Amino acid sequence: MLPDWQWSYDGWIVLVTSLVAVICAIPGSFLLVRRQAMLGDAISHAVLPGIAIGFLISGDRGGGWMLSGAIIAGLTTTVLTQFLRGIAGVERGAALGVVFSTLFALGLLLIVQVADSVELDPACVLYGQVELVPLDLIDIGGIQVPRVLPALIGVLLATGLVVGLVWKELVVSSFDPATAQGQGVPTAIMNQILMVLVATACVVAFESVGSILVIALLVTPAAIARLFTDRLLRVVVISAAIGIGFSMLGHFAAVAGPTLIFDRQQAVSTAGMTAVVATIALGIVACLPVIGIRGRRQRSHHYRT
Amino acid sequence: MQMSSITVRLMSFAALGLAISVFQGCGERTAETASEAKIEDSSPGLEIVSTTGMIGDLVRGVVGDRGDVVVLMGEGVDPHLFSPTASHVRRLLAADVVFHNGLMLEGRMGTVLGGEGGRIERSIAVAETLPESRLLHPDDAGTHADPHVWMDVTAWSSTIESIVRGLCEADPEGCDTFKANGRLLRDELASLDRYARSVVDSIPQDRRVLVTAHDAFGYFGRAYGVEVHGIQGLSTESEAGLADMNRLVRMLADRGIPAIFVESSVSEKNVLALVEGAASLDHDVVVGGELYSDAMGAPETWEGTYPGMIDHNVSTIGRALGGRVPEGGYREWRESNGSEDAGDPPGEAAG
Amino acid sequence: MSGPILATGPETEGLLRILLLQDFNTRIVVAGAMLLGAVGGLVGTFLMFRRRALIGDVLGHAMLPGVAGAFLLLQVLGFERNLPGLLTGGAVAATLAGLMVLGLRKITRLGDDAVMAIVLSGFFGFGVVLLSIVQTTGGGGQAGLEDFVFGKTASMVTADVVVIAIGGLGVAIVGSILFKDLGLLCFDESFSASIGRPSGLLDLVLLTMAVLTALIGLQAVGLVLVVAVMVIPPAAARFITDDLRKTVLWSSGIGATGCWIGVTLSAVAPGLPAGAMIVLSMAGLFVVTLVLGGRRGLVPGWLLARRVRRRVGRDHLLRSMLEHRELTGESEVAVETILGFRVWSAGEVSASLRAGRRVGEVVEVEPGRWRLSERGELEAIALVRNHRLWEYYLLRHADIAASHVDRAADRIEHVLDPVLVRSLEVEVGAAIGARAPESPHPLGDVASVEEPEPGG
Repeated sequence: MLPDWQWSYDGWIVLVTSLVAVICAIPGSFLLVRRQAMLGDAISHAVLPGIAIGFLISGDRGGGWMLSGAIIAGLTTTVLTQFLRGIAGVERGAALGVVFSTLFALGLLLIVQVADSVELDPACVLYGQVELVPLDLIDIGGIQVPRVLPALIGVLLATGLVVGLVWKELVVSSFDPATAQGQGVPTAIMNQILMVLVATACVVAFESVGSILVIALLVTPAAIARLFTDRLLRVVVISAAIGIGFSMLGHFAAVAGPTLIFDRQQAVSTAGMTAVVATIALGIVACLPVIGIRGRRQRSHHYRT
Repeated sequence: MQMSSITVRLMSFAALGLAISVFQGCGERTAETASEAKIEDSSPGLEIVSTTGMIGDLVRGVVGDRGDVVVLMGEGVDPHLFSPTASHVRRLLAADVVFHNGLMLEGRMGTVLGGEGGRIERSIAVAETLPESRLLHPDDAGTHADPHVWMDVTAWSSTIESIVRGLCEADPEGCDTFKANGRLLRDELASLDRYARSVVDSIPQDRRVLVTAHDAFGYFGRAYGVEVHGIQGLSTESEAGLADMNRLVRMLADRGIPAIFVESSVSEKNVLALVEGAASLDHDVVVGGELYSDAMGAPETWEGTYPGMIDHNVSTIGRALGGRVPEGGYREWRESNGSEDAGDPPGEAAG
Repeated sequence: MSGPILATGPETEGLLRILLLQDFNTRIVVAGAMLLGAVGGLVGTFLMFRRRALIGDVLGHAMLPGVAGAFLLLQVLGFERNLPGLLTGGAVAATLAGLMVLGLRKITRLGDDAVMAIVLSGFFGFGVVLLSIVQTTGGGGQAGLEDFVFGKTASMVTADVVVIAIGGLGVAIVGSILFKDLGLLCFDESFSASIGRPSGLLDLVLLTMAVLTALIGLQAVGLVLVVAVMVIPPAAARFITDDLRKTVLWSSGIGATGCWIGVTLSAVAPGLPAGAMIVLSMAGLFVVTLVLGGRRGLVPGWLLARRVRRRVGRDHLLRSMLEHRELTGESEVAVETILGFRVWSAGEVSASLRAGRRVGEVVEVEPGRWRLSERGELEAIALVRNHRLWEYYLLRHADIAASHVDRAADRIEHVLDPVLVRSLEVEVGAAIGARAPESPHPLGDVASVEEPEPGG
C-alpha cells in the first residue's frame, strides 16, 4: 500500500466515515423518495441560531448545549418546512429555502448581537474534521477509540431500531401518503419520526466528521442505488454498501491521489475527495446506457416497497 | 552589550536568509512550510510542529539547530478556517512537541490538540500559558479571550517562556541552549516593542485611530495606545450593519482620520465602502496599506518572519497616519538607536 | 434640513436621515439591494415554478471550486489574484454545475432535488479539495478566498450597484422577451414541447439567468442572501395570485420592498447586519402574505372555507325541509328528523338553523320544531330546482348511476354560477317557474344514497 498509510490513523478514518455512510443511508434513502434531498445542506446552514442560543445558555463553545441547540435548529427546519408544505401548500424546495435562509439570518443576527467578539462559526465550533477524528480518543474498556465513535454507534442503533420498528408505516407514508392515511397509518407522526431521525443523524454526523461528508453521503449513494432498484430496503442496503466504498475510496484518493497524479507528498481533504468520488461515480452510472433507458422508461412508475 | 546587538541584528538578517551566525539554521527553515517539508526528515534533532507562522518563528529562534520546525499553516492561511489534511495530522503525530496558539484560534484542531484524550503527547497552547491579566476579553462575560495575542509584542514575547519549558521537557540536554536563545529572543522582541511604541508615539495624538476590516487588532490597540475599530466582528460569517458603516464614515470625516487599512485575510470591500462613504462627505480617506492580521507574509521574505510582520504593520500604520517612520522601518531604526537602550526592561505601560 | 431647527429627538432625526437616504452608504446599499431583490424575485418565480427553487444554493456552492481553481491557475501563470479572474472561474464552475443538473435530470429518473443535492455536494467537495491544495501551496492572498468572493451587504460599493444594475437589466430583458415561453415551460412542459418549444434551450436560458443573478448577488451580498432573494419573494407572491405575470410582479415587488425594509432596519441601530435584516424582513413579508394573501393565504382561505361551509349548510337545510314536506306533507319538522335527513352533525344543523332564522328563511314554531318561512320556501324551491336540473343534466349527459347523482349534484351546484344553471334549464327544457321539476330519483331514502365522506 502507501508508504505513509498507518492503520492506527487511516484505519480509524475509514472506519468512522464508513459508519457515517451507514448512518446516512437510512434517512438518505427516505429523503430521496420524499424528494427532500436538499435537507442535509439546508440543515447545515440552519444550525446557526441553535449554536448561538446554545452559546448564550452555556457561555461555552463546545459541549452539549451547542450540539443540542443545533439539533433543535435542525428539527425546527424540518417542522417549519413541513408546515409550509402541508398547511400553506408552498412548493417543497421553496419551503426549505425560505426556512433555512431565515433561520440562518436569525442566527447571524443573534451572533452579531450577543457574541460578535467571539469566533462562533459552525465550521469552527461545531463541525468536525474527519482528519482529526483519530487524534481525539477516549478510553472505553481499556481500548482507545475515537471520541465520536460511541455517539455515532448510538445514533446508528437508535436510527436502525426506530426505522425497523415502524418500517412498513414509514415506507407507505413516504411513497403514498394518501393510501397510507386510508389504511389508518398516522402519516403525520411517521413524518415527524423521520424528521427527528434526519435532524439528529445530520447534526451528530456534522459534529463528528463535518458537513460536506454528510451532505455527500446522505444523497448520492442512495441515488445510485435508486437507479438500480425500486425497493426501499434494497436502496438502503445498497446505498450503505456504496457509501462504505466511497469512504474508503475517498480517503485513499485524498491521501494517494496527489502522490500518484502530481508526485506531491501532500494529502488533500478527505471529506471533499469523498464527495467528489461519489458524484463522479453517480455520473458514470447515470451515463451507462442501460440505466439511463431503464430510468426513463420507469420514471412514471409507482414506487414499490 | 555589544555582543547582544550583533546577535540581534544577525538574527533578523538570518530571517532574510542572508546571514550566518548562532541562528544560521533559521533562514533555511523559514521557507519550510508544511507542504515542502519532507516527512522522512532523518535529522537527529527534535521534530517540532507549530500551527501558525508566528509561533513557528519564535520556536525556531529558541530551538536553534537542535530541532526542525514545521509550520502547518502557510502564508496567508486564515487559522480559523484552516482544515488539516491527513498529511498535516501525520506530522502532528510524528512530532516530539507541538506548539499551538490556543484560545480557539485553531478551531476544532485546537480543541483536539488541547484535549485530554489527545494522541499528541506533548502539546502546548502558548497563548493559554499567559496570565489572564495579559489577555483581552472583549465580550462582557469576561470569558473567551481574544486569541490574537501576537499583536502585542510584549505579551507575545512572554510566551517564549512556555516554549522554552516545552522544549526543555522534550530535550533536557538542550535546555541551557534553549534558555539562552530564549533570552536573546526576548531582547530582540523588546527592541521591536520599543520600535512600535516610538512609531505610534510619533503619530499625532488625535490620529491614533486604527480602522480595519475585522476585530483582530485589539491587543495592538491596548499595547500601543491606539483606538481600534473593526468593521465586522470576529466571526468570518459576521457582518456589519449599515448603522455601523454610517457611524464609522461619520467618525472618519468628523475626526479627519487620513487612512484606513485592508487586512490580508478579510475582504477589502468593507474598507472600500468606507472610503467611498467618506468621499461623499468631502473627506479623502486613503487605504493605508495591507496589514498582516492572522498570518504572516511569504516565506523567505522579511514579512514572513514575526518581527518582519510586526514591523510591516507598525510602519504601514505609522506612515499612513502621519507618524515618523524611518525609510527602512524597524531594521533601519535598530541600526541607529536600537542598541542604546537594549538593556531596558520591555515597557509594560499599557499592559 | 438640519436636526436642531426641526427640534426632533436624535432617534427621529436618525430615522429621517435613513428614510431620506442622506448617508452615501445607505443610498448605495438601498439601491443595490432593491435592484437585486427585484431581479431575484423575477428569476426566482420561474425557478420555483420549475421546481428548482434551490438552484441558487447549488450554483452558489458550485462557485467555490471555480474560484479556488482560478486562484491556482492565476498563481501558476504568475498573476496576482484579481476579482474578475476569480469571478470568471466561479461563473464557469456554476454553469458546469447547472448543466450537470440539467443533464442528470434528463438521463436519469432522479428528481430535481436529488440531482441538485448530488451536484452541490460534488462541486462543493471539489472546492474543498482545491482549497486544501491552496492552503498548502501557500501564496499570498489566499486567506479569505471565499470571503473575497462572497461579499457582505453593508459594504456594497458603487461598482457593485453598477454591476447589479447591468446584470439585472440583462436578466429582466431576457425574462420579458421569453416570458410566455418560460411560463409555458414552467406550467406544462409536455405541452410546451408538443408545440415545438425547445425545452432544453429554454432550461438553459433559465439556468443562465440564475447563474447571472447568483454571480452578481454573491459578490455583493453573499451566498445565503442570494438564496433567500431567489426563494422567499416568489414563495410569498404565490399566496397572493395564481397568474404568472402577476406572480412575477408581486415577487419582484416583495423582493425590492423586503430589501428596502431590511436595509433601513439595519441602518437604524448598530449591530444589525444588513444581509440578515434583509432576509428577516423578506421572511416577515412572507409571513404576512402567508396569513393574509388573497389567493392561498391562511386567513382568506379559512374565511372562504367558512363561507362555503355555511352556504352549503343553508342549502342542505332548505332543500331537506322542502323535500320533507313534499314527501310527508307536513310543514313542521323536529330537529331530530332534520338530523336524519343527511350525514351531518347536530352542531352543523343547529348552526344552519340559527343562521336561517336570522335571515328569516326558517321559523322555530316551538322549541325543537321548525318550518320554512314563506321566503325560505321560495329560496328552497329555487335551490331544489337547480339541484334537480343538475341531476337531469348529469343523468342525460354523463353516465352516472341514479343513486350517485344526488351526491354529485350536491357538489357541483355549489360551485357553478347562475348563468350556467340558466343554460341548463334551457337544455333540459324545464319550465322556469316557482316550481321545482320532479326529482329524477325516488326521494326519502336520502341517507342511504349519501355515503359518508371517507376519513373526513
